[in-house]
Amino acid sequence: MAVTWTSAGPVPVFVATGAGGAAVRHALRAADEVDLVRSPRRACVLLVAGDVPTGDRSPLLQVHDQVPRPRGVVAVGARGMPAELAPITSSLGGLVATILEVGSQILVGEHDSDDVLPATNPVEWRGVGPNGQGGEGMMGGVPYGRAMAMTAEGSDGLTLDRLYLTLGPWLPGLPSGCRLEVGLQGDVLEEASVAYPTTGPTLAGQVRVASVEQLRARTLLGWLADLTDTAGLPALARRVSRLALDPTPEGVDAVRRRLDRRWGLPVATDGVGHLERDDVTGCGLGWLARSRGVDEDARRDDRAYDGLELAAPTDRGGDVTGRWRTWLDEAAEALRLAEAAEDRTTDRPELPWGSAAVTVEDRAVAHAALATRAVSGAELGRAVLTLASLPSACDADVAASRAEVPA
Amino acid sequence: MTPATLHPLLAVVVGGLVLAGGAVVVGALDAVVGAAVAGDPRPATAGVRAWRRVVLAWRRPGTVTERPDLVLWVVAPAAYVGVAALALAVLPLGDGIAIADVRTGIVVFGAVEVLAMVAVFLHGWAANSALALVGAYRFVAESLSFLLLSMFVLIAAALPAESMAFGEIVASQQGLWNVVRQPLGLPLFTVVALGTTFWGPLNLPDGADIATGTSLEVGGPAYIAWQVARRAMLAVYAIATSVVFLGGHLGPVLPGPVWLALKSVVVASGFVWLGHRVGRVPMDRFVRVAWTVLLPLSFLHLAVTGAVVLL
Repeated sequence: MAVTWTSAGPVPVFVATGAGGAAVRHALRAADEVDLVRSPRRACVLLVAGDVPTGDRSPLLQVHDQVPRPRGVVAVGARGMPAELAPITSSLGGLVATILEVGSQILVGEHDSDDVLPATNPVEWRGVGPNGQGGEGMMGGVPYGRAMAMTAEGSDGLTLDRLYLTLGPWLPGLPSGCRLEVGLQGDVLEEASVAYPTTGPTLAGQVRVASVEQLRARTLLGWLADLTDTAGLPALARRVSRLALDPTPEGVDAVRRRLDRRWGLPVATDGVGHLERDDVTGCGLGWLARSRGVDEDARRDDRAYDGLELAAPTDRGGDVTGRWRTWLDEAAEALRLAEAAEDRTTDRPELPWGSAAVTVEDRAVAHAALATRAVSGAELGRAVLTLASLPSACDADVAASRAEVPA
Repeated sequence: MTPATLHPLLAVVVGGLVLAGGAVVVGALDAVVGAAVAGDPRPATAGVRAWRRVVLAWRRPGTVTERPDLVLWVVAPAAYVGVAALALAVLPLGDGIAIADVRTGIVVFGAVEVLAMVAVFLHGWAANSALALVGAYRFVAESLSFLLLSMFVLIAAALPAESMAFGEIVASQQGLWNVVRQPLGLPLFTVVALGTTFWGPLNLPDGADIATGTSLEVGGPAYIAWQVARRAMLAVYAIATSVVFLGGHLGPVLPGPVWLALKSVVVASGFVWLGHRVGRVPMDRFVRVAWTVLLPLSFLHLAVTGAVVLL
C-alpha cells in the first residue's frame, strides 16, 4: 500500500547537467513529481542531462557512487556518458514518467546501479589519533588524495589553515562544466582559479530571428531560475523555471515584481561579484557588456533587425543584481522582438551568451579570466553566487532550439 | 503569579506533543506557502507531497563518509531537538500551564541558543567533509553575531514584568502587548529566530550555495531527523515570539492554549513566508550588519524600554 502511495513521488533526483541540458533541469524543477536535491546523498536517481565532456566523466562516476544504493541512472540527450554507467535513456517529454517508474522500482528493490569505483579509498588513511586525525604527512595540500589544511599567511596578515579544494564540475549552483579551484582560509578564497568548458553549442547557417530571440528569453530566464535557487529561494526558482520553459511578457513582469523588491533577491545579490566596465568589455559576452552600459551587440549592424528598435543598454551597476536585472530586461525585449520579427532570418545572430563571431575557446578563456578576477578574495558563498551569475553557452537549451531553426 | 510546573511524566507527554505537532505544522505551512509562492498549479496538494517526501526519504539508506565522527553525527540532531525541548520547557503554554516556568526563564532561553550553536557545529564537523565544515563554522560566526541581540530583547521584555520568568512576561502584557510597547523587539527577535533555526535568509550553515553545508553528506532517516529538529525549533521560536510579544495565551473567550496556538501559527506562517521571499544574506554582510546596526539598535531598544519603565 505504502509503495502505491509513495510511487507518485516526489522522487529525489540529483541532476548532473552537461552542455545543453539546462531545459531538463527547469522542466524537472517545475514538476510536482520530482524533487531536485542539491546533494547526491539524498538522491534516488542520478539524472544526466546534456553532453558530458571527456574530462568530467571521472567526477560523474564519483557522483554516481555517492548516490545511496539502490539507485537508478537516467539520461536525457546525454552524449559522452561514461561506459561504466548503463543509464535508462528517456526523451524530455517522457522523462517524469520514466523517473517515477525507476523510483518505484528502486523502492521495491527491483532496480539498482552497481558501484563503479572501489568501495574504499585505494590509498590507506594514515591518521593515527583516536578519531583518525594527525599522523605524518597528513597535513598540507592533498596528501594521499585527500585535501588537508596547512597554515599559510592570508591577505589579512593572519596565519591560518589553508585548504585546497576543487569545486565542480557537477556542483549544483556552478555553471555547467565550470570548475572552481580554491585555496580556502576559513571561507575566504585566498587563491582561486575558474575554468569554463572550451566546447559549447553554436548556431550556424540561416536562422529565424524569432527563434534566436525566443532562445534568448528562455536562456536568460533559465539562468535567472538557477541563480534564484542558489540564492536560497527555491519556490521562486520553481516559478521562474516554469516561465523559462514557456516565456511570456506578462510572466516576465510578474517575476520581476516578485524578485526585484528591496527584501527579495537583492538581499542575496546586492554588491556581490562586482565587475568593472573594463572587465566586461570585449570578452565576447555581449549581455555582460550591455549590463554595464557598453553597447556590444551584433544586432546593431544586422539588417535583419532594421526597424525593430533595439533598446539602448543600461548600466546596471556591475554586481550580481545588475546582471540578473539585465537578464530580465533582455528577456522582455527578446519576447517583443520575437513577436515583431515575423519571418525574418539572419546568418550572424547575436546569441544569448555572446557574439557568434567569437570562438567558443576564446570566449571560455575570457570568461574564466574575468570570473577568476571576480571571485578572488571573496567569501565562498559570494564566489558561488558570482559564478552562478556568469553562466555560459553550455547553460542554454540549444538542443531544443535547433528544432525551431529551419535548415 | 507563582511559577507553574507540570508533573514530570505529563511534561514529557506535553513537550513531545508540542514539539512533534509544531514540526508537522511548520512542515505543512512551509509546503503550502512554498507552493503558493512558486505558483504551483496544485498548491492544495503540497502538504500531501511533503508527507510523501518524508516517507520516501525515511525509506532511503543512511550515508557514511570516510572517517566521520559517528557518535557526534548521530548526537547532533538529538542535541538540537533536545535544546528545543529545553526552550519549550520554560515557556507558559496556558494560564498556569508550563513544563517549568522557572524564575530564570530568559537565562535558560539564552543558554538554549548557545547550545544550539554547539549542536549545529557538531552536525557539520562530524561529517569529515569540507563544505559541511564550512557550514559549521558559518553557524558559529552567525550565532555569535545574534546571541547578544536575543539577550537585550528578552531583558527589555523582562523589565516591565519585573521578572525573568516568561509567565510574568505574559502577565505584564495584560493591558498592552509588547509588540506595541516595544516595537523594535519583534523584528530583532525575528532575526534571532531565523538565525537559530538557520531558516530562509539566515540559512547560512545549510545554504544552497555550499550544497546544503552541514547536511551535504546526510541522507535517509538522519536527514529527516535533522529537518524535523529544525522545524521543531522554529515552532518553539514561534511560541516564544507569541509569549514575549503577542501576549502568549491571553485572549477572550477561547482557552489560553488555543490562543497561544493560533498566535504561534500566525507567527510561524510569517517566518515561513519570509523564508520563501527573502534571499539568503551573504555571510560577511550579516555579521557586519549584526554587529554595527542590529546590536546598537537592540541596546537602544533596551535603554529606551528601561527609561520608559523608570518614568
